[in-house]
Amino acid sequence: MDRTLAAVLQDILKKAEAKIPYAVGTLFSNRGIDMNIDKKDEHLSAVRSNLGFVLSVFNGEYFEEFATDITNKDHLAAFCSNAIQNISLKKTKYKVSAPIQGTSSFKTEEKINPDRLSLNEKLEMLRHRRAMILDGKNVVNCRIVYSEELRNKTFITSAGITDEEIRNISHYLMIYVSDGKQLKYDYISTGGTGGLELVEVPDSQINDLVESANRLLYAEKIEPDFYDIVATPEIAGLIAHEAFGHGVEADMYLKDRARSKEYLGKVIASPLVNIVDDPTLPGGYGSYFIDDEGIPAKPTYIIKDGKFIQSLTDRYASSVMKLPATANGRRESFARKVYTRMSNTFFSPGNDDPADMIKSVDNGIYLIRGLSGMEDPKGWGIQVLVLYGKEIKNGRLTERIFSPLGITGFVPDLLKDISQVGNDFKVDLGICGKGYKEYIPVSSGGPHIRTRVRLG
Amino acid sequence: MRQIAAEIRDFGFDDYRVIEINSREHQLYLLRQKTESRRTVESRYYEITVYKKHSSSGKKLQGEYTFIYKPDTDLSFYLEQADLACDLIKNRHYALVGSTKIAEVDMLDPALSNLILAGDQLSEVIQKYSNGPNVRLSSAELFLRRSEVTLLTSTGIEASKEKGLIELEVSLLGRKGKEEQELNFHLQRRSIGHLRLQQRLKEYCEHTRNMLEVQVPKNGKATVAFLAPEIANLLAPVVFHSSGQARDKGISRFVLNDRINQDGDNTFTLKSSGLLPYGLYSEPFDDDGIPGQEHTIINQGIFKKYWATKRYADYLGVDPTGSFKNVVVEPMINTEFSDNDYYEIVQFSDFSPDPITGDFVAEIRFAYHVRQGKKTPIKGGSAAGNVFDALNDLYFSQDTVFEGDYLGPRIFALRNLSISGQ
Repeated sequence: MDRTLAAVLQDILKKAEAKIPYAVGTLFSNRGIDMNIDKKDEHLSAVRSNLGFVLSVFNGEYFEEFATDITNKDHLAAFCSNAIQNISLKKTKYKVSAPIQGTSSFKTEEKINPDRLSLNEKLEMLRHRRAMILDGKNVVNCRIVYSEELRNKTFITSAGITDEEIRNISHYLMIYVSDGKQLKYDYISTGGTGGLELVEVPDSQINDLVESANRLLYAEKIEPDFYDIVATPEIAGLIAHEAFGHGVEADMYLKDRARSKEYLGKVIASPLVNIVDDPTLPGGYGSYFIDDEGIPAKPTYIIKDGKFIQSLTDRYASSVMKLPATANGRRESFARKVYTRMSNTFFSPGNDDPADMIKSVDNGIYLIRGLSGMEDPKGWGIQVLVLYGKEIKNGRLTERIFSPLGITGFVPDLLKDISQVGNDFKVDLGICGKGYKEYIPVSSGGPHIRTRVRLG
Repeated sequence: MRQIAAEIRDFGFDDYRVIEINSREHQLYLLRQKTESRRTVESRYYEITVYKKHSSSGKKLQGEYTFIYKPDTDLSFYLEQADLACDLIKNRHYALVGSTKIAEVDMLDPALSNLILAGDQLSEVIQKYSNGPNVRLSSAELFLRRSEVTLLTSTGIEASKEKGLIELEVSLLGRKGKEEQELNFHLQRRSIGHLRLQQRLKEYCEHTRNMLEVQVPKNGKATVAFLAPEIANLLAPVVFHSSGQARDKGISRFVLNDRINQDGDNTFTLKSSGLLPYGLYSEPFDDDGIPGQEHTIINQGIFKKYWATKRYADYLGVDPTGSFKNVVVEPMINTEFSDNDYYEIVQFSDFSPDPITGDFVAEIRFAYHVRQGKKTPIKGGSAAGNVFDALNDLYFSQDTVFEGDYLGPRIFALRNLSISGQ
């Protein structure tokens, strides 16, 4: 950020603090490229600009925010001065914690800087993968997406300036197959925070993708019932994120919208279960150094040995409810409010070999590829959609495949029924909404888990 | 805007499309009967697409690149990147729209002239009507936006439109003894009147109260009645497969002049309408410059026309309709809905049928099991099926409702869906 502008803004914030208890500014900017190709066309575009500034003020009772994407020095100085002048101080009801002090700077580590490859070389990488896919059996089309985004955030207080630079990379390969009667698809995705090392896809993985899409042409519908399941890290992550993570976002406690509030300090899961939200996870798609309210990132151990020990908070929720502050205040963009949000949420690994976990199931389903999920913090219900799963019979995977599948049920039941936790670990990237909006980058995952769920 | 266009021309691009968006938004967050937060957002930016012509073996090709330009940033940085990208991309050529006629359609509710006042008035209604026996307001979010959009193209189009949008989410809590339930709804409308806020809040308070007596559905096959707010989602796979883009990509299941459902007594006409007053997808003109229009895509169950943006219309050699706008359904009823045992869905946790396969599985957030006219509240379990299969056994209610992006029967009832419960 232009230091002259930062100094002007700091001066305004200092004057504001003589009148109001809390005033901070955050400047967001980004740049990057989206590439999207299929059988017939290729599209390149710049990532959607998030350039904008937000002034956050606590008036003693609640936060007021003023946001603009007109970011020249004169406009911003006048914009902030006007906004602060119009704040009417309320009788102070809550004390919000002080923002980050001092000046510091953070940057994502990357092994292979994306700038090492030209635009043309990146396009050729995607074209190579497209050619491989289109050579596959029954393939009628595909969609290959690559996105790299450098996101900058400058958090300005009267006492200091903190800069953060995060590089998010994502890559998505989707394949459509048809036998002339049915059309099916499968996909893989990869990415995180870092460099091009995150989007390496071996040719064998593309061949596997073609094969798995073709198997879906023979998929059956499952008979709705309760099943013993072994879930891949991808599905385990969806369960950790959708079924459990959303339910421990403390801004929902303020609204009496989350049942988990009643379970703080209590055992709610099998003793094998440990769930963590960690914005410092190296390479995680939801990783950052400071949250959007200037709180330094650190892991939060939500469930430890089956006991629910800590919720996630934003600054307002932790202040009002007097809960420990965690670095989970995040916003979609300068144009949207901060909410309590997850970062990288996962089950911690256990001791079981995933192959042995499958061998231990007499009759069940191996849930493989996820689609989406939806939270229900008050009811603590689960909705996780799964693209496909395979039958397990007498400890072996059979050729029977079921698609699509929906996991529903009650979260504590599912968590208490977890009987095995794998010794593997993987996180997958995702985009998370709060309800039907407020989309932010996250990751979720963990090891394989075995439990019992209702499938439909 | 003309200065931006001049810079693009000077850079040597063959064509361009510049869309300027100026908007102001007021956001209000309620926590029970109090304010949780207030925000104002001002925004001005330009969405720019530039084109460069190529040819190969006599075929016309083109490179293109899209970016957002915000004043106070360096336009030449983006144009240099666009120049490089346009040299690398050689897509099939399509022509930009040459001229436009602006359709007349209401898009801006005059009540949004003062966003803060309108927000305060709506919050008063929410606070007043979100309470009752065993029910209280948990929280609400209101977003009120007014935007001005101007389109300028290298082919001579210069047109402007103003639009408004109200978005709100209300969460209600029910409590009776130790039993607690929550129900929320999310709405987007262009006019305050179309929110039907007072009436809707009364209905949802009633649903929330009824949630305190819920049962879990039983496993089996059942008829499921989808109410209007979910019908546009239910028809999303039909809309997807009727697109020129799906046809061009070789993944559309529909064939022109063939039936979309093979069996069943009932079917429907499906229109894309950009002309519904205050429709969420109504437009005087779209991003290509195509004027707001109404098109019959499916006529009495027969697939008649691909809807297509200018790009895919040119690729397929058909007239452009623009993107699919509001869903208008006119039912063709031969057999009336007379089931005495069915589930009426008030809300799924998330209902997003797979647009490609038509498969869906959705958790029942709240529903009624209707038997011989008696309603039993239901929560939990899921409803599953396939949209295309379900169209073969389809029933409608006789009444018509408008739900922002949908005008048609209040109920679509699908038989033989799979219910997973107890």
